[in-house]
Amino acid sequence: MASRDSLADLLARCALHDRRAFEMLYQQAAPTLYGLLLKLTRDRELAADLLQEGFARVWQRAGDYRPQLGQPLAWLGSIVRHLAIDRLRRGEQRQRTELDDSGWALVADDGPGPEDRLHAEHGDAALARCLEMLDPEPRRAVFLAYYEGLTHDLIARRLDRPLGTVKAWVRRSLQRLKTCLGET
Amino acid sequence: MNIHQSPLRDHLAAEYVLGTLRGGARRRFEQLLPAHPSLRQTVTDWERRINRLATASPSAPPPAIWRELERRLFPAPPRRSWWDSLALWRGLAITSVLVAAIVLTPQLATSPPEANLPFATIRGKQREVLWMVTLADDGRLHVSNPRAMAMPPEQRCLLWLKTGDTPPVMLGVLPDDGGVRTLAMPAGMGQPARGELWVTMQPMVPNPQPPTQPLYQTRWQTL
Repeated sequence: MASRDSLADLLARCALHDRRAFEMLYQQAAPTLYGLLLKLTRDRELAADLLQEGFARVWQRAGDYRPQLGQPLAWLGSIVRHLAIDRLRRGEQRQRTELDDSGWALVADDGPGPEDRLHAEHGDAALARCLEMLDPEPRRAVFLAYYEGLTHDLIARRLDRPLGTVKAWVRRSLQRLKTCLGET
Repeated sequence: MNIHQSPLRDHLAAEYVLGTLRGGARRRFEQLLPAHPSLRQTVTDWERRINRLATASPSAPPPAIWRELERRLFPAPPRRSWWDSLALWRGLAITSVLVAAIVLTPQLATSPPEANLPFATIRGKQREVLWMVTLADDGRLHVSNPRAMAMPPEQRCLLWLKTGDTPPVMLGVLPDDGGVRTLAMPAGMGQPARGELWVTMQPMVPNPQPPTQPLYQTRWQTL
């Protein structure tokens, strides 16, 4: 995996419109971001499209990166995640008019989510440990919010649980993650 | 909402970053951000935590994505044969202009301002050269900063193109480390070798507002 310094340095050079740095950034970061997009969208064509869109945005906004925002790869990941959620949400608007409650029950029955193995497989051991400490359903609620951009309301429907329960799960899970991750 | 109550503030920031704060509550929260630095800090802290979720196992993207991205962002062809070499033709152009200058000095004075090799020199208060800018024939700007500069913290020098009465257009961040950079001209800029080059010094922010006054300014020259 690329070191933090080199990706941060490449981003700084991209802010100065250094094309070579941009190519190196792509070589280092694109496989991870493409992997993330595949898991978010489960659609190769859409993932490829979003990867290109994401890197075009990175070229324009590399100067916005600040170390306070976290690891460079996580920052890049959050950019493509926002693009993916926007795109999926637009698709969801179309689907929503077609699906009644029983339709949503079918959507909900989707087996293991895209995120279930992410952190055990790759990268952030501290985060993986903290996620392990959450109960399965509250953890899934946080994942559905983060990876699929679902509202409390949609999470409640997807998990077939009361809205108030889902809100409390998300709230408590975030606080537990904060405590577990500590302030570094 | 009483935003000064700390646990509530922390919770709203967390749900804002996670994306579960929606509708009117999200808009009200965003309206509070510009005036409340500590609230922005709380949001930044949550971004740092929650963005850690944005990792995945790598998967090689199709090679076509990079080719398409290059074509989209850098329309100029990246590879050239020796016949198309900028250095070759620049060398020939300099030689022929110098020969012409010696042989045909009166005619040179009447040559059009768009003649070969536009360049500009940006000088400081003591007339020292701060930057040299040359316009390549692929429309890109080569900027050199002969001597590293001591910049105030968090400040960068930006290069702008000012033509006519329209607001200046940003060309990019100027090097301040004694190095050389290539800046891409924005698409559809027409004749970049006209007008004035402006330099401003300002904090790095996304989409900076066009300045009304430059810190330094200069005009294009030609050999």
